[in-house]
Amino acid sequence: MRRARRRNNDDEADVDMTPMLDIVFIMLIFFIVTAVFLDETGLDMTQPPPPPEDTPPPPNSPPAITVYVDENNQCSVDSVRSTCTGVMARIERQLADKPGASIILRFHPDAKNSVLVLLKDGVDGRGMASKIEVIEGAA
Amino acid sequence: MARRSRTVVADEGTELNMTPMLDVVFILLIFFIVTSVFVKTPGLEPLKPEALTDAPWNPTILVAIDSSSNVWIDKRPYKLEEIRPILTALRDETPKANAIIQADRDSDVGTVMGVQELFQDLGVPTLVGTE
Repeated sequence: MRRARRRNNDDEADVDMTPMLDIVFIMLIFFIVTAVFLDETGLDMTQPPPPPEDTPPPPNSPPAITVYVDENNQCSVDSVRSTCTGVMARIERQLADKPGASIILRFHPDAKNSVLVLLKDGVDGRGMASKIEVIEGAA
Repeated sequence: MARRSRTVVADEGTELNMTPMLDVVFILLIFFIVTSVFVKTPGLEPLKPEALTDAPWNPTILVAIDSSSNVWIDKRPYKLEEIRPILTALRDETPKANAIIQADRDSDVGTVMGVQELFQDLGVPTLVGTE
């Protein structure tokens, strides 16, 4: 008799686990879905560490095209003034004279980030090697 | 009589032992809870410049730079000189973290590259955020 009763209790399953399962499934799906929510895009501006002061420049360093952006966001390519949007065209022209040159992007620290991204995006899009330098500002 | 025995059979059929499934579900849940990382948002979402060659990135350390070149970390503004200990602490919390610098279009290049150099110094891979 007792045995039968026990079995009955087991059969009835005193604890109904359905709500707990519901909660657990919801939490699981929440975590799975939110695991992929952060979606940023960006440009890589990692620079090689500066060489120590006293190493002489390597004897056959490749030619370089220098783009300078001053504190008023005026751009110049190899000391020739240009509009910032026209810099890439100037660089292409300079590359005709200095093939395989790497680009040096020099900035005044008060130049705007939009110009930095514009130029870096431009040279990266054309697969040119580049280096970013920030000159010491008045600050 | 026949029906009764049929329903009895049906009842025994639904006596599904759900313990193994619960085990698996709990393990999955605990796995996701443990591997979830809490991302501290900077506090403001600046208007970043657009770029064509930007790469997708899932950072865990987020730094924002507004148009006045204040550096925002975890909803508080700082000056460039003050952030080194904060970023070192953040890096030590999650050593293998990636970072992103969400800089406004009008923020200073000096500040952006300053933060970039700092992250490089700390060994944290970082990108400059774009739209």
